[in-house]
Amino acid sequence: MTETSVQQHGQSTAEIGTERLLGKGLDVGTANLVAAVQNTDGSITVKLERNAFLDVKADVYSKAMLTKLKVPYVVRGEQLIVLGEASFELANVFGRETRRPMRDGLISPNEVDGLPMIRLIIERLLGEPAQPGENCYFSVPAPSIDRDNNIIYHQGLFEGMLRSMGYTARAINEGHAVVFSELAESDFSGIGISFGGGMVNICVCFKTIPALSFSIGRSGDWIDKNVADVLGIPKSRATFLKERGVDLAAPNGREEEAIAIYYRNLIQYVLTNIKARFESSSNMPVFQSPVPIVCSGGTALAKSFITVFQDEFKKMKFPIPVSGISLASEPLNSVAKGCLVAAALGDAV
Amino acid sequence: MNVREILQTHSQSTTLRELEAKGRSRVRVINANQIAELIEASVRRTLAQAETPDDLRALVERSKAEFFEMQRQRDSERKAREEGLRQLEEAKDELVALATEVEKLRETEGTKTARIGELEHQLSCEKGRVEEARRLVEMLTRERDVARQAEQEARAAASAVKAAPSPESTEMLSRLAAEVARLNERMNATPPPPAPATAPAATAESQALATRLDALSQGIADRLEKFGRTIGVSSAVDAQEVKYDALFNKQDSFESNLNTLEVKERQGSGIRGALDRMKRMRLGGKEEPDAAGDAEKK
Ligand SMILES: Nc1ncnc2c1ncn2[C@@H]1O[C@H](COP(=O)(O)OP(=O)(O)O)[C@@H](O)[C@H]1O
Ligand SMILES: [Mg+2]
Repeated sequence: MTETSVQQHGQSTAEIGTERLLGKGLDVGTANLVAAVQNTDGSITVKLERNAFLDVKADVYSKAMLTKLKVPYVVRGEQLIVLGEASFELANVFGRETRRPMRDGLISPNEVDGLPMIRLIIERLLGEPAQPGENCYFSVPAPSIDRDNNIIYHQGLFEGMLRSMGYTARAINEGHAVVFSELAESDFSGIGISFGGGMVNICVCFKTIPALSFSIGRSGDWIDKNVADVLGIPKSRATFLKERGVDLAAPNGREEEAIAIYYRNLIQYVLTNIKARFESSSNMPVFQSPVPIVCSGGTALAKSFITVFQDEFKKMKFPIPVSGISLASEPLNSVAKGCLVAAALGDAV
Repeated sequence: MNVREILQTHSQSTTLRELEAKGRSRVRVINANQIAELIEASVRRTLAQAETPDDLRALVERSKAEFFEMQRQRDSERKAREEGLRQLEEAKDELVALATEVEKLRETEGTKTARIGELEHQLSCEKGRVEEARRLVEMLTRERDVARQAEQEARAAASAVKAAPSPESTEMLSRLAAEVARLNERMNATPPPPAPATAPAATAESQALATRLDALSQGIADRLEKFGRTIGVSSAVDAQEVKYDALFNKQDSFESNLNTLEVKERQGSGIRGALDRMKRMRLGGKEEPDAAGDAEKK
C-alpha cells in the first residue's frame, strides 16, 4: 500500500530502492493487463486490471459518487469513461458490452478510443519508472497460424507508449515469458503455453532460446462464442458460466457439457498444431531427455484442465519426449513474471 | 490512425531531426521518396512562417543533411548483414578445405579408421549447418526488407494495417536462434570419450584436423551469434525500427480520479529461482559457479 503512494507521488528513488528491485514486467493481454515488480525480500507484487472500458453519459453518475464507489474514471467531453474491472460491473447494470482496446492479442484497429485508455490503465499499473529508463519488458503474441496478425505495429505501439512513460521498453514473446517464469527447473527447456482470452501462445524453448513460437487465434473468447452459439445464450452469459467454474472432467448439465466440449476441442487443436509445426519445421532442436509442458493463462484455470490436456495428449503421437504436463503456479501471473525475469536480467537476456 | 498524418501535423517544428524526435525511426525506415515528401511537407508548412528566405534555405539544407545521415545509417546496417553472410561463406570454404584434407588422410592411411569416419560425419554436419544458416540469413534479410517495405506502405495508407510479417519470418529467427543454441550446446558438451582401445589410435594428422574442425565449429557459433545479434535474434523480440512515440508525445491530460484510487495488489511467489538459474546458465559453469551450480552440472 505504501508502495502505491510512493509511485503516485514519484518519491525519491532511494525510498523505492529499499523496497523494490529495478525492472518491471508487463503482460499485455486481450483480457487482462498485469504488471509485476520484484521486492527486495524476494517476493513480487502483481497488479492486474481488466483491459476494458465503458463510456457513460457524464450526468448518469456524479463523479464524487464514482470515486466513493472506487470506480476509476476519466472525463472525456460529455462522457465519463470507466476503466478496468468496474466497467464490467457497469456494463452488466446497463445491459451493455464493455469496449475492449484489444482483440485476439493485438491492439484493435476498430477501437480508436482504446489507445489512450489502455495507456491510462498501464500507467496505473506500472507507475512511474523508479529511475529514468528503467527496464520494462512487455509481452507480445507470436505470429498466428490462423489469423492475419500484425505484430510489428502492435509491438511498436507499446514500445512507444512505454518509452513515453520513461521506460526502456523491450518486447518478449508471451510463450517465451511463460517458459522464463515456469521452467527454470528444466533449464528453460520445454514448452510454455499461455491460454489467454483471445489467443493461445505457444513457445518451444531449448535452453532459454525459443526454437518455435506461434499463436492460435482461439482461446477463452472462442469457447464463449461457440458455447453461446450452440446454447443460444448471450456471450457474456457463456463467459459467466465458464468462469463460475466447470469441472471439465465431470461436466454437469447441458451448459457445462458444451463448455467442456469446446475446451477439449481447443486443447486438441493446440496439440495438433504443435505437432504439425514441429514436424514441418526443419532444424528443430533435438531434445535428448524429456521436457515439461506448462500451461498458464486464465483459460487454463478451469477445473481439470490439465487432466483433459493429458487425456488429449495421450491420444496422439507427440513429436518430442515429454516429462510431464502441469499448470503454472500462478496462471494469471506467469506472463508478467516471465517479463519481469527478462527485465531483471536486463541486457543479459 | 494515420501515423504519417500525425507526423505531418506535428511537423511544424520543421527539421527532420525534430521530426525524428517525434516519430523518430519511423522516419528512418520510410523510403527516400517518402522522406523527400516529408521534408517537403514540413518545409512547406514552415514556409508560411519563415521569416526570411535565408531562414528557409538554411532549413532546407539542415533537413537534407539529416536525411543523408539517415541514409548512411541504413547503409551501415546493410553492410553489417552482408558482412555476416560473407563470414558464413568463408566458414563454408574452410569446411570444403577440411573435407579435402580428411579425404587425403583417408587415402594415406589406406584404412577407414573409426576416427576418420567420425571426422567425416562431423564435417558433413557442420556443412549442413553452415548452409542452413546461410539460407536462413538470406531469407531473413529478404523478409525483413519486404516486411519493412510493406509496413511503411500500409502505415502510410491506412489505420487498419494489413502488412503482417509472415509467420515464417519469426519462426526463422527462432530456428536460427535454435541453431546457435545447438552449436553452443555442442561447444559446451563434454568431449567425446577416447576411441576404444581396439580402434586404431588416432594419428597426429587426424588429431590436428579434429582440433581445426572444433575451432571452426566454434567460429561458426560465434559468427552466428554475433550476426544473430545484429539482425535481432535474441530472446527478446526486437521491434523493427518503426517507432510510434509520436502518438504518445501529446497525451491529452484527462480529468480523472485515477490518482485517488489504488489498484489492488497481490503478492506473488518470487522469481529468484529463475533468475539464479538463468545467470548460472549464462556462466555456462565456466566461471566459479556457486555450489548448487556445480551440483547441477554433475
Ligand atoms: N476461473 C476461470 N475459468 C475459466 N476461464 C477463466 C477463468 N478466469 C478467467 N478465465 C478466462 O481467461 C481468459 C483471460 O485470461 P488471461 O490469461 O488474462 O487472458 P489474456 O492473456 O488474453 O489477457 C478469459 O477468456 C476468461 O474468460
Ligand atoms: Mg495473457
